[in-house]
Amino acid sequence: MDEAERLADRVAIIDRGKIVAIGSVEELKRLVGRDVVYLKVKGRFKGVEHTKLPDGKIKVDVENAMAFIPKLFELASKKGFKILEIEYRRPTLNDVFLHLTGREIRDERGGSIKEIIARRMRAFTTIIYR
Amino acid sequence: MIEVENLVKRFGNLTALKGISFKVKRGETFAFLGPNGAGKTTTIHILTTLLKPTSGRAVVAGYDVVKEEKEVRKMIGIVFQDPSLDRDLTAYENMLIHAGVYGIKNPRIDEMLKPVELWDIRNKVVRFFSGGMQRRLEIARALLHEPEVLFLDEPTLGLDP
Amino acid sequence: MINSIVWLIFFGMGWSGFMRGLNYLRFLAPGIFMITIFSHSVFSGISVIWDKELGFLKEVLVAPASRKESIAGRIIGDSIIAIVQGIVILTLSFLLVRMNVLGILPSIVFGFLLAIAFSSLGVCIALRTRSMEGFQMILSILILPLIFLSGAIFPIDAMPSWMKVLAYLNPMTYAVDGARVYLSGMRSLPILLDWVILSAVTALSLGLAMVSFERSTIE
Repeated sequence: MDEAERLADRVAIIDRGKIVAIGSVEELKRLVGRDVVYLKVKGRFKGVEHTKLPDGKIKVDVENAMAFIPKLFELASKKGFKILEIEYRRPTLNDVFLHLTGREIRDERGGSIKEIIARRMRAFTTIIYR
Repeated sequence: MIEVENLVKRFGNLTALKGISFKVKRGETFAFLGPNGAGKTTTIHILTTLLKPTSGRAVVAGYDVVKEEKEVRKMIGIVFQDPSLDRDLTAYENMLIHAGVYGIKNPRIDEMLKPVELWDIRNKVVRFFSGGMQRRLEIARALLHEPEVLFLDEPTLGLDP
Repeated sequence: MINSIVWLIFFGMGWSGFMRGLNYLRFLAPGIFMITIFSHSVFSGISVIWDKELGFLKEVLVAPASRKESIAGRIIGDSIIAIVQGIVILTLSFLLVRMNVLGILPSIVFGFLLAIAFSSLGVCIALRTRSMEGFQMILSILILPLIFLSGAIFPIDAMPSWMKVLAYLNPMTYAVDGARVYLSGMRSLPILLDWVILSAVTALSLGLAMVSFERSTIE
């Protein structure tokens, strides 16, 4: 699954003998919805619609996390807050499959618990910035 | 490069493919994603002339997979889901046999085996290779005849980390 | 091959002593020669099953090389091995019993035809069989009746008529009879008939194996 994301120009999602979706990885992920950015900041965060999480982090729903993060730095220097940590979550192809079929892709390997955890971990990309 | 129209494959009363259509352009990397039994391997087997479709049409590198199977076979390279090496032969001999059945006069086996780090052990019998080594040998072999289209069925399965 | 030696020495020499006046060993030796070739070549299909189970068959099936030629190559290769084994047994037979030296060459040709016929049939069975166990089971059912119904061990003339019919349907009968004519000078069928029928069956089964392999898919 990871190799598909990294290497493929286009992906066809196939289930029970039918193609349920076809397109670039980005296009397919857009079917599921948006990216989520989690922030830890020093100072007052403002300028973008957001929700505060109980652990003090800030959650922002965006169309495209990659495009949003550079804007975030501009915002930080304009509004005068400091970014301590950025974390974002993008939908995985597994999320896309789940969305389209209501089931998970079982990896061909059968998937031990360890592998499933490893896969979940990879779905989370973290950038630490101090 | 690849054109698939309404491909259907039935095994007895089980329908493995229920009308699949897609196109792949030259130079494009195209991936199939889906759970076990979704029809990925069946599709690859039809496109590589190993299975005949029940109905529908598929063209690979300009040739029909049913009517011009021999032409298709010349154009494609495949790495199968399960190993397809002759385990009693050495890595080098497996490459030589491949060159023979694909009619290559001066196979550049060294050029293929060096990048996958198998050149130094080319005279070892494949039976003693690890899963990852066998996999790399199969990839080198699939590229030996410079195919127009390369098919990889679960390419990372069994690769050493 | 060990089995053939056991047959030849213990079975052949044992019965020779019982049937005084008749040279049973001279009757049996061409038969054992054919049994050796037959029982090796019929297992030729096993290599196809191995390739199927170990995956190498896919590499062959997907290659642009002629499938008909590759399976014919395998059948002829296995037939040569079968013939070599037969020649070893034949040499041993000549040490035990006097036979016609000039009969060696035509007998080897007969043996080669038989080997190709049964290698081809073995391949046809293997292509339609899913597992090694299945293949071996089918063969174990076929082998003994084919041997007994070939006239290799006892003459066809002495069989009850229903059994004769089965024997005449068995291609091995004509190979045994041919070799016996040339090596031992004993005959029960016209030699021309032996040549024609065995050649026809061989050509037919080789053709069948080539076409089956050409059309085979992996399911």
